[in-house]
Amino acid sequence: MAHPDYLTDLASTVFENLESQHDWTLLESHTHKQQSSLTETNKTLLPRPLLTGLPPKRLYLHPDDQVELVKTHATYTVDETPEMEWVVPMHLNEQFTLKQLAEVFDSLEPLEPLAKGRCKRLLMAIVHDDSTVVYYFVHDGIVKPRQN
Amino acid sequence: MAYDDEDPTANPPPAIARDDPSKVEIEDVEDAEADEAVSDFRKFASSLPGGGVNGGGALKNKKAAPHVSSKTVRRGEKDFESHGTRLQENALETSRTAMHDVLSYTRTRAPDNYMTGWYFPDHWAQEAGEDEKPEGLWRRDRVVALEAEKGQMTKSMGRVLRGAPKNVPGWDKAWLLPEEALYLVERGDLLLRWPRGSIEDIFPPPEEVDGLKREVARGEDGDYELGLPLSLQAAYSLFIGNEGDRGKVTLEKFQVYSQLRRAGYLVSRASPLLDPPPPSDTQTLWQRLFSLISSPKSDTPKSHPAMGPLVKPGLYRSYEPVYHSLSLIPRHKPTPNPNTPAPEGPFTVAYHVFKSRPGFTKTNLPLPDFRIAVVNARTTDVPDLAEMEALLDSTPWDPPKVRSGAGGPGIGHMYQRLKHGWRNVIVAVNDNGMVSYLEFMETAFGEEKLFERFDAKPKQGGKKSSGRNQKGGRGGGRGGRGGRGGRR
Amino acid sequence: MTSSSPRPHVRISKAANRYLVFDIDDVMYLRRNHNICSVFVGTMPQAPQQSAFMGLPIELMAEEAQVLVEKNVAFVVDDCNYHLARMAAAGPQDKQYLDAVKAVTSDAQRSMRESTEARKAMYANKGTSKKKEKKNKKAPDTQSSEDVTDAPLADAEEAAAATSLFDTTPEPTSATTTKNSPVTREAPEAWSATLTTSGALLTPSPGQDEQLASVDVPASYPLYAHLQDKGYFMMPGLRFGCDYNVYPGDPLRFHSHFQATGFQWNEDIKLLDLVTGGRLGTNVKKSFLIGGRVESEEQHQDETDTARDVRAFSIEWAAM
Repeated sequence: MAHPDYLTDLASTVFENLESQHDWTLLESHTHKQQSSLTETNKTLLPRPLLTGLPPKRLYLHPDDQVELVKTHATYTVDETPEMEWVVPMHLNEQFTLKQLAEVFDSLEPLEPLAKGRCKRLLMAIVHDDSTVVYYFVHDGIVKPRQN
Repeated sequence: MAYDDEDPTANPPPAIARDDPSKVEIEDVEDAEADEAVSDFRKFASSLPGGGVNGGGALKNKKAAPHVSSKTVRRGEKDFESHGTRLQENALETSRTAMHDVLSYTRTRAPDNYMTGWYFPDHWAQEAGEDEKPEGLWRRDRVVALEAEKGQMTKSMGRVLRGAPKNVPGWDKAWLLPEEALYLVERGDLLLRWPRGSIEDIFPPPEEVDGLKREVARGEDGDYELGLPLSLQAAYSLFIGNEGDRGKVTLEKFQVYSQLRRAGYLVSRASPLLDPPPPSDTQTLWQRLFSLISSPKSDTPKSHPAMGPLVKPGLYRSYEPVYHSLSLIPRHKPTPNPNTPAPEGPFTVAYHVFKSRPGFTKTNLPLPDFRIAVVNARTTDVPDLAEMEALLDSTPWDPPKVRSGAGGPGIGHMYQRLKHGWRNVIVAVNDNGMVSYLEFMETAFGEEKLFERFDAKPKQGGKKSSGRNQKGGRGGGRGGRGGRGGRR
Repeated sequence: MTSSSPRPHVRISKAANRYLVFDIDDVMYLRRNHNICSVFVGTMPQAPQQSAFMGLPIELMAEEAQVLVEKNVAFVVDDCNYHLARMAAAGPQDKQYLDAVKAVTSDAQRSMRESTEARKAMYANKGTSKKKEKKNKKAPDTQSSEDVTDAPLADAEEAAAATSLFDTTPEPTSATTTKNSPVTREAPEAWSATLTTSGALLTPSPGQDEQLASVDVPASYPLYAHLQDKGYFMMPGLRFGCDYNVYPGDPLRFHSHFQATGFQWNEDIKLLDLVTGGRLGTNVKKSFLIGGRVESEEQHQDETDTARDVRAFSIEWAAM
């Protein structure tokens, strides 16, 4: 079992964009669920190819943590530590359903331990024909917006 | 940071009016409602004399009315989320209490300071039969008869139906449309009454009028015996209906009507009979002769051979024939007399809107400043081209005043022309009481022949054409931006 | 906060498929206890020439009406029919209703008289002339210094002042008054009172056996019910191109957090719509929330509990 070629190609486009344009490191492609007990051939295929990687600086800070940060000014630099992110490559012409989005979330494990009341998130990488890529955070639940 | 710029369309050109200072009103309202859906009632309440709270009744009402405008009351500060602090809770509680107090008000007015209207839903439907007289007065929809016209409001509302036979009761009364009646009730200007008896009891035919008969009608409950004074709730239940219900108005239309009225516009129900006839198609003899002599500049693209160059090799002394042979795609050309079928469904002009002006009389309406269609956001999709064309073509021919080409000031005024359009209409989109206004116009980019300037001969020292070429250069370079002209 | 004593049901007036609430106590109750604020759609009689502050009634979204019916705190009456029938019935409730009207008018009359007398007393004490007083005040206030009973003209002027805001050319109202009314119906002697609700006229409320009006909810209802259940306040989403503008608390105090749009579980969503919503949301400091009711093959859906089994996702621009 493997993904169709266009999904694999899409993933490699985003891979390169993250690596070359956004200076991400530790990039990895994933085609199957991470189930350590199983051998490679027995692993479940992911709904679509996913990437993981480390951005050069922290991409997301929950608004509650933001508030904390303001209160305890000293720890500011510590929280700038980047966090690993899940990335799902998609093409602008694609359509998706809530069901498919739910399946993607259900197939991945959070890369950092989730604090109480927090939910999984991923970066949706949307590719256009001119190879422009835009990135949107999708949270697996009702998550209030960041205050800027 | 205040979220004052939450309206995503930062500084859009005001939709409601193109050249009217009073348009600011509506724009303000939209801003205020964008996110701050409910404004700060604490400040509002304190702006009303006596706190605007009930008890003073009509006295306070009347005093308050002239002073309060949306501009005098600023919006309050708001928070991102609950902190669970008492300060925040107290602020919310104060706001809610102020809201409760202000809205507990009951409409009362002193004698001679209100009008009385009687609800006769079927009077004109019976009297007038099926046919609407050609005056376009919506007579069958007029369901409230005013005892007497009073105050400024009646300058633009209610009509006496001239031509009704004099033996018909109420023939000399001003009759209100449902939206007019409901708006007046909301303002407190109209006491709406439900007659117990027939219209003859309320408006006796002239020969029966003598003080005696009137006295008999009043029992121990006095005037109330004639009919119940109705509540706001009753007025809504009488006047709000589905599209096409006679004597009723849809809620989305009423809300647009009352918002425009509150903003100071005068509004009348649209009637095709009120529109001027389309301009005559017949050309004068001279025009026809002239058109025969002058080379016909065809706007329709020439037919091209399937193969070969668009511009055949040869000697060209001007750019015009070159550009003409390059034009492959037919362009839209506005016409004063389109044969478009009349619009149907929601995308139909519902109201004619007039800026407030001295000397306005409802019996001799000027040409409206705006035409507005009202659609329900929840039941209406974005219009398709046919719907939009039918809607626009139902409005009068209104080409740009500034002419293009050799006869006019030329290319420098291209944006003025494109922005004005050839016909225009406003669509009010109503989502459960929240209204947005969008202006649509018919625009013709094909009418702006940018290449004409290439052939223009610079006249040395000619006063008329000085500056024309410089402006033309600017126009040509940015032509692509005109693409947003279709919607504002 | 919530009172434990049973409260009469909120009466929702259905008029041509729109849902209205007229009773201010009901409105405040919904706001305090059921996180429903809705849109005030009425002209405020105290300040009729502005739209920033709006008055009764409130217009409920169909979703709100449905939630309240499901919670068994409200009932929906088709008022176009019911109201008409009750008025035509001319029952004993009419007297009760009229008494309420009379109470309001006599209250208004009394308070007018009291304030006039208080003013007179003030003049007497101070010994100041009315004219001097007038000088110090703005025009619209002056008339109230006249005695009510002998001041029909002043009232007429006042009427003009109250209604002339949109017309820059105020004209003496006497010119238009009764100009074309040969019928000699005398000017109304009484004060007017337009109650906000019809009160007693509509009692008793339709019982359980009577057919209550149904509510037609849109397809996005499950997402609405879900958010409502979690305590959010929802407003119509027109201004942000979505189904609902979602507030974490009373919009009187709080900015909204989300623009929310409901989808069916298997409905195709264009990625461009997600980008549009996400980008717009970021621009206005909101998250774009999408969600819908989970449809799983194996388990049968429980139709009555719409708020559950909803899954929602929040979308924000990643700023990269």
